[in-house]
Amino acid sequence: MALADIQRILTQILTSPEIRERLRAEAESLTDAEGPRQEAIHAVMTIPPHQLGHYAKALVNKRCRAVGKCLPATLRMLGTDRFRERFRVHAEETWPTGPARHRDDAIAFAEKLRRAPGPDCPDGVVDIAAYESAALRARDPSRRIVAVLARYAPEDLISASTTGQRAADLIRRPTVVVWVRLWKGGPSREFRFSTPQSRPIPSESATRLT
Amino acid sequence: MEGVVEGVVAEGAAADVADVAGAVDEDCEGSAIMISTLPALGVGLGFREPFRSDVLFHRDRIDFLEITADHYLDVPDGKLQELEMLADHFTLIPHGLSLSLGSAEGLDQGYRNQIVDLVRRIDPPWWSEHVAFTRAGGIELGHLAPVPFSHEAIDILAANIAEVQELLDTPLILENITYDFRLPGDELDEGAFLAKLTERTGCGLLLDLTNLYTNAMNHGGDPIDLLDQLPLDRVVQLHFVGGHWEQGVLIDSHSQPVPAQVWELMDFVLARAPVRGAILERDENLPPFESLLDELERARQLGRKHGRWPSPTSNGS
Repeated sequence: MALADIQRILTQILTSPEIRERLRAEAESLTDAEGPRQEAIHAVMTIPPHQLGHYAKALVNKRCRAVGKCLPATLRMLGTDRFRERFRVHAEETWPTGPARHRDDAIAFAEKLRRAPGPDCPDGVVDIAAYESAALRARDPSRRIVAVLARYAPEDLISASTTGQRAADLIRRPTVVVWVRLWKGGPSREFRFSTPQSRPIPSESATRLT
Repeated sequence: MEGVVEGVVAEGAAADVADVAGAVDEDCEGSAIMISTLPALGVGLGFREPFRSDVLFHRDRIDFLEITADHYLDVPDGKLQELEMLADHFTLIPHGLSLSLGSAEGLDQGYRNQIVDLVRRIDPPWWSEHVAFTRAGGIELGHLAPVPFSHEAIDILAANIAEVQELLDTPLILENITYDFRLPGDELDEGAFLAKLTERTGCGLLLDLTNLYTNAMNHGGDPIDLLDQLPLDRVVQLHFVGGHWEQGVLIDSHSQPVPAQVWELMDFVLARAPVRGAILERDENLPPFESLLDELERARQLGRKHGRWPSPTSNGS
C-alpha cells in the first residue's frame, strides 16, 4: 500500500465532507480490500473519525481566518458569526489551490456574497465586498487594470465598518475605483471617482467592471 | 552511508568558541550540515505585518527575523522591497510552508523554483521547511499534514530534499510538526524517525518545542522522554510560543504567552544541543510588543546561560 495512495485519499477526505461520507460508506462495504485505492481507503478510515473531523474543521477555520484578513471591512460589516457561517458553506463548495490561494479564496467568497448576499445581509456589505475583492485582484502583479463600481464611497464604508455605523445611514456616493499598473510587476495606483452628493441610483448591486 | 558531524560547544563558554570534529562519508546521500560553522544568531521573531513598525523601532532587541517564504512568492515589487529593507537591518531566515517535502508524488516544480530563487536572493545562513506534506492529487490542504514514521516516508523525504539540495547549497533544517492524527504505517517512534532522516539527508533540525509539547499533551508521552530520543546534536534552531486549550485539546494556535512547560523544555535543550537561534512564533491575539520583547529576552538569557550565543560584553556580540 503506497503512501501516495494514502495521501491522495486523505487529502480528498479532509477537503470534502461529501467525499468523506462517500468513502466512509465505501470503506464499510469493503470486506477484503482489493487494489491500492481500496487498501488506502481502508487504511485512512482506521484513523479515528473525530481526529479527522477536528483537522478538517481546522483547515476550514484557517481558510476563514486568512480570508477574513483579506476582507477585513467585509468581515466587520457582516459580523464574525455571519461571516463564518457564510464561509463554511463556501468552503464546502470550493477548495483553493496555488500560492495565491488565500487571495483567490477571498475573491471567490466575495463574489458569492455579491451574487447572493442573503436576506440578513446588512446594507453595504455587497459594496465593500466588491471593493475589497477588486483590491485583491489589483494585487496580482500580472494585472494591469482593475475597476469596480459601488453605491457607496469605499472610505465611507470602511469608516462605518470600524465605527459600527449602518451603511443604510450613509449618504450614497456612487464611486468608480480603478487600479492601474503601468507595467507587469510594477506598483499599482488606485484612483477613485465619486459623485459629490447623493443622487438617485439604480437599485442593482455594486457592479464589477473588469 | 552516513554523514556525521560532531559539534561541541563547551557549556558556559562563548558561542563563538567551538571544537568541531566532522567527517563526511564520501558515499553519503547528503553532505551533513556543519552546525558549528553556522553563526550563532541569538533570539528573534517570526516577522508578521502588524509588527513591522515595532520590529524596526526595537531592532536592537531582536537578533534576527524568520520570514514566511510563501508571503514573498509571486508578489509585487513593493513586497520584495520590504524584504530588502528588513535584510538591511536583520539576518533573515526563510521558513517555507508549502514545499511539501513529504509528498509521495514529488515536489511542485514551480513552487520549488520560487523557493529556491527566494533563498538565493536572501542568502541566509540556513533555511527551513517541515517534515510534512501539504498537497496530494492536485489538492492543496493549506496546512501541514503528518507523514507516517516509516522507512518509505524517509525515502520520499530524502528524495525530495535531495532534489532541492541539488539546486541550493544553503543548509536546510527540518521542523517537527503537531499532528491531530497519525497516518497508518508507523514503523519507528518520532525520535528514531528524525534521527534516521537527518542522518540520511544531512539536514539539521528546527526543533519546535511547542509542537513537541502539544503532541505530548494530546497524544500522551513525556516531552523529556521524546527529547531524549531526538538527535539533539542536529538541532540548529528552536521555535517557541503558546497555544490554547479547547475542549480538552491543546491547539497550536500561536496565540498565547509561552507556557512554563515550554520554557523548561527550552532550558533542557539549550543545555544539550548546539542551538544557533530561537524564534518566537506569535501570530494571533497579539499583546503589547513589549511583552514579546520580554519573552525574547528570557529566551536570550537561557541561551547565554548555556553558552549558545554571546553575552553583550563578549567579543562575539
